[in-house]
Amino acid sequence: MIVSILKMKKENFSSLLFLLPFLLLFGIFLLFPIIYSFFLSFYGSPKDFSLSNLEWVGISNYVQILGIHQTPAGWKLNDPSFWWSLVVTLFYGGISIPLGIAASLGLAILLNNKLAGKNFFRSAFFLPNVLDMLVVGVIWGLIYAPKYGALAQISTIFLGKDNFLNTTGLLGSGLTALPAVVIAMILKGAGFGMILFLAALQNIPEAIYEAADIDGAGKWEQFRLITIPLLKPILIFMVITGVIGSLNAFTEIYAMTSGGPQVVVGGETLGSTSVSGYYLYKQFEGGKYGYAAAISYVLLILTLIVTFLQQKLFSAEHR
Amino acid sequence: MAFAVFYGLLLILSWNQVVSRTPDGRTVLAFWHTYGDEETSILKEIITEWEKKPENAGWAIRAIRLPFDGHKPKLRTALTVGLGPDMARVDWSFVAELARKNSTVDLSEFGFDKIKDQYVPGPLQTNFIDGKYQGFPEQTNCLALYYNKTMFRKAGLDPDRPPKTWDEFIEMGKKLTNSDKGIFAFGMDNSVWFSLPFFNTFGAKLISGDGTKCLLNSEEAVKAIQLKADLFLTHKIEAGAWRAGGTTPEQGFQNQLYAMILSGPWNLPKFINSKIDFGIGLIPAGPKGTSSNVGGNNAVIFKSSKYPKACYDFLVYFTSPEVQARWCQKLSQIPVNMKAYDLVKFEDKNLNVFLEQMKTTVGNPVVTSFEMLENVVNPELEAILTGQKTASEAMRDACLKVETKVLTQ
Amino acid sequence: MKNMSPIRIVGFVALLAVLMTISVGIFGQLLKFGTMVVVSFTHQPVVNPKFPPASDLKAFQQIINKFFEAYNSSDPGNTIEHLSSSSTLEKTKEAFASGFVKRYQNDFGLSLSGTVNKEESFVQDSSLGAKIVYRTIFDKEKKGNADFEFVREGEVWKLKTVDFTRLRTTMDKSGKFVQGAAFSISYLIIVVVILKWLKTPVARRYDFLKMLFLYEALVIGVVVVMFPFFWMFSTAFKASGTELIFNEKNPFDIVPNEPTINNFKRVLKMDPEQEAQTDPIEKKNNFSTYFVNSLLVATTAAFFVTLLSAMAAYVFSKKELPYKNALFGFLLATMMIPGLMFMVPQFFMICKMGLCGTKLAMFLPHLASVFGVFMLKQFMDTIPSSLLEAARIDGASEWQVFSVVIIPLAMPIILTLFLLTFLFHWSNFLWQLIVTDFANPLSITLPVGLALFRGQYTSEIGQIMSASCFSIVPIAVLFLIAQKYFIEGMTQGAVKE
Repeated sequence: MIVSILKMKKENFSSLLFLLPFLLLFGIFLLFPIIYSFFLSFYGSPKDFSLSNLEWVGISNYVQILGIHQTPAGWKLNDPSFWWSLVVTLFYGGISIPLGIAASLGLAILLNNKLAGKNFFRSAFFLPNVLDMLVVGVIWGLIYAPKYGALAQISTIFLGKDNFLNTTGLLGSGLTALPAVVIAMILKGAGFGMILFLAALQNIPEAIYEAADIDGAGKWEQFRLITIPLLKPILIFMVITGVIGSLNAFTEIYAMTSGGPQVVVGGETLGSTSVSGYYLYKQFEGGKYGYAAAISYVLLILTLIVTFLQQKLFSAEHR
Repeated sequence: MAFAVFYGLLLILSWNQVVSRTPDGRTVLAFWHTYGDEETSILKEIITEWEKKPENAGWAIRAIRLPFDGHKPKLRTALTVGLGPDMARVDWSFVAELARKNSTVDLSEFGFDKIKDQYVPGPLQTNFIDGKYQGFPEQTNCLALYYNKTMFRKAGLDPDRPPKTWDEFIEMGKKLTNSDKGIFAFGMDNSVWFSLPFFNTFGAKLISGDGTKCLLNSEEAVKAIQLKADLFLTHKIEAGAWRAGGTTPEQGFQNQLYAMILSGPWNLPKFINSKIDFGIGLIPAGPKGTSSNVGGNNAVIFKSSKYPKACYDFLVYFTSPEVQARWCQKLSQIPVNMKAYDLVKFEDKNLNVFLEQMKTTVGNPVVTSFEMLENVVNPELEAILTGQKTASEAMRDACLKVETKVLTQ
Repeated sequence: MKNMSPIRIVGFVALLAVLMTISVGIFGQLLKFGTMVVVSFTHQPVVNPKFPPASDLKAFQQIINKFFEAYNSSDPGNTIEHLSSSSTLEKTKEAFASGFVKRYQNDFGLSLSGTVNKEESFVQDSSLGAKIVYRTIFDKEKKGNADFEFVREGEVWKLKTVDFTRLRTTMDKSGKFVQGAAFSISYLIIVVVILKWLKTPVARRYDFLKMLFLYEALVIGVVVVMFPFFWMFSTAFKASGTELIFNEKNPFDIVPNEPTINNFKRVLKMDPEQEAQTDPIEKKNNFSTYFVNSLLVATTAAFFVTLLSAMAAYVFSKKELPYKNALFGFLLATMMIPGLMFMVPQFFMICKMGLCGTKLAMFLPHLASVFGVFMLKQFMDTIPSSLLEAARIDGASEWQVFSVVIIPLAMPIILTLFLLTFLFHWSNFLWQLIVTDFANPLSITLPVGLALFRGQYTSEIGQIMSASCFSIVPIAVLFLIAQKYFIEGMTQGAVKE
């Protein structure tokens, strides 16, 4: 008994040792800023440049984001742009995450077999990740441009001169701007997921597939019942980073659409590619630090709620 | 391992000697600037001259160069930890924020009121925050009308006569446009700053003088913006260059698709390189004549500086007529000091048009964060152009947002 | 079997056709890129031929004026409208061609044809005077114009300027060669493919088609994905002011006509202006300093982040710790908050520690990377625990288990993290800007240094692209080195068990 207690303590001790450097740096350089920005969300915009002259506004930042007020025309949202950015982000994530995973997984599977020159292809698909996001955004903006973009020019061959791509361009319409950005990002980022999936696929022993073959399982069944479950950790990773990425997306929007073609919804002018990350940056740039901090915490809480609900659903299903 | 060797080499290579440039007992004034290469070398000459003067023997100015892209966050964070400079050269729109955050010196303490009249009114205005002058105009430019002479000729128009009023503009525009071929008379930007010339030629102000009310929904402002929108919507002489992902005015001009654009003197060398036969005209006149907006930079002195008087003396020297004349002559820029206008002789007659335009510029709206203003108003401007709102609706909505989000800072 | 044959053949032919187009396109562009690079080094500015010397000018002007006089007298009440009619242009064109062009061709060192381009020659009466411009074309290829501009001064027409535009450049001349080479290579490939097809047994031909299709799809995928790279590379060679000029006929032809390496020179500050620097500190304030600084920062950061993350991930994935999952969940939650919010407090702390302006400060706050821990942990989850058990039973210490079992298996992902972290710190502009002490230009890193030469209004796209090209080089090199380990690491996993 004593031996087992000692053993356990030893295990924890070595865990702590391994974890210590990371936790130490995290505690010093991340914990304090997190707490600081949390407190910042209860203050208004700074009156001067010192960190001390701040005006306490309590939860009014949060009220401004989440609340509603009464106008002659009825109840209206306090900050429609914020809610709208959530909607846009939902669309953005909803398209980019599944597509991105499918593209990465597809590439990984394609390149996992004995294809000659597969190393070349692997490198080639991974390389775009290495490009600066801003440069990629600018270039894709030029590709999508009407009349002079590569895409517009090709489309005139197949679809004639007056087609949509040529006159307005994909980035010029509220409906197509967001998908266009998503596609550009997937083309850039698919290689990263591909490497992750490839490495994980290699970890699956051949023997399992052989056993399944003997048992008479078809290729698709093998994929569904062996490959996917074994890749689950990576899939979870891609989903979570995809969600976080969508919530914080900024550079690609900044480079390609600057918030995108405006649409008017319910009397409010809103940007069709104004995702929450972009909206937050704009508040920050405009000097509203407290407000920006409040937004990031609201987003955090919303995500936690969603995750929590999702967990409950999952475990309910499993029962 | 090879890695260790490689790393060791790196460490050695990047060893920095301590930068010791303490000049022999003189007091150092730090001047943060964002000039380009050529400008920096001329700045150094001017500094040396000033230091050589007997009354300035105790001072040494250290000019420290920052990238323009990012000078705002750099200054903000430096001021937060108390590591700011004595004086700095900043974008014109930054002065309002610096002043309202109580970090700049009110220049009237040193007698600025006596010398302020020598400066061009437009740029000077951008330093006038809440009733006090908080900075020196230091470099300036404005928008004017670039036009493509070849395209004018082809349309049967006199290539040496750009349009003088908005009505002429529309008339000539119709002749210049051939939308089937993708050729348009005009390509425009949609932001507030680029719309200011329109507002100014109608005499419309965006923010009231005391900074508390938004005047975007005034009659003149609505008329001005309606005219601008009509160029695209009704007269169809504008190409939609403002659209996200569209061909920008610069691009269209370079490719000889837009006959006219609004742009500043920074594009002169570039368009000359593109071998386009172009000319510059004044902004077409509205009911209040021709006018333009103001761009450029101002120089501020910080309260955290221990020697504001010396900084003030330097900046007065820097913006004096002779120095300005020399600076602008060498760099083909527009002087901020009116007395320098007579001393400067430009060969390029295009620059002379800018000089002319400069005299009719009006100061830009003073708000703590011009970025926030554009954030809030640009979408409304776009809504007008896409026909989703009428001009008066959009301006009314814009004013609501401006008053709640921008003017409250 | 026999019924499949025609479909197969049709499929094969179709795929061959696609292959041909792709191949010609790709090799054509690749070769063009190659010529572009070579030409840019030997690029000489277009030499404008001499303006006709004074005496000849006089003689010519006499001829022209005689003609104009004759024309004026033959048609009294002559106005500029008359002069601008096409018949006039015709008539004067004769005099112009025979009287001037043919006679002075040699002086211009070019083979001007005697043909005047009527549509683009014009007569103009403007408020600043009357003007006639004759545009003649060069003989071969009809590429290039010579504009002769005459201005009326009083009664006399004078030759004002001679302007040569769009001369046939080296790139043009090499065009045919490039096309030829591209076609030959493509034909070779087609031949090889056909031979292979004939060699494969009929039963396996369908599989062959599938492979061919797969290859073509992958190649097209690579082209689409790598297009931004090529665009960036070719734009870096474009002269200022010409970056955005489109080739209307072929949008894929992104190679500039007159490539130059000036953009690269400017980035490296190899301009003659810069060489005149005498201040020893300024002399070192250049690209190579920024480059080395960034290299140091990024390498150190990448190394430590990877190490720390791997250690932490090992704990979360394979070891025991009370409240481990709660802690991990908390860490994940903090990933949600954008880094933007942390900058000011982190800067404040760094300065209080006295580290402002040092290279250490540029990566210290980012050494604890939750993203890194997360990524490595997820991957380590896919490593079967049985391996670890076996090692522990064999008596290995925890550190040995970590370094001998886990790290080699996770090598591809560890390398990926290394690369990504390197990339992040290599291009982390905002934070490094805030931390840099600009009074000491020797501590400036690459992204900040490159921003220094982006002016306020410049959208010098050519320069920005050439700067990006330089930025990419070390990463690409790093990646190629890491490639070896990627492959080794990946195949190792499959071999085990």
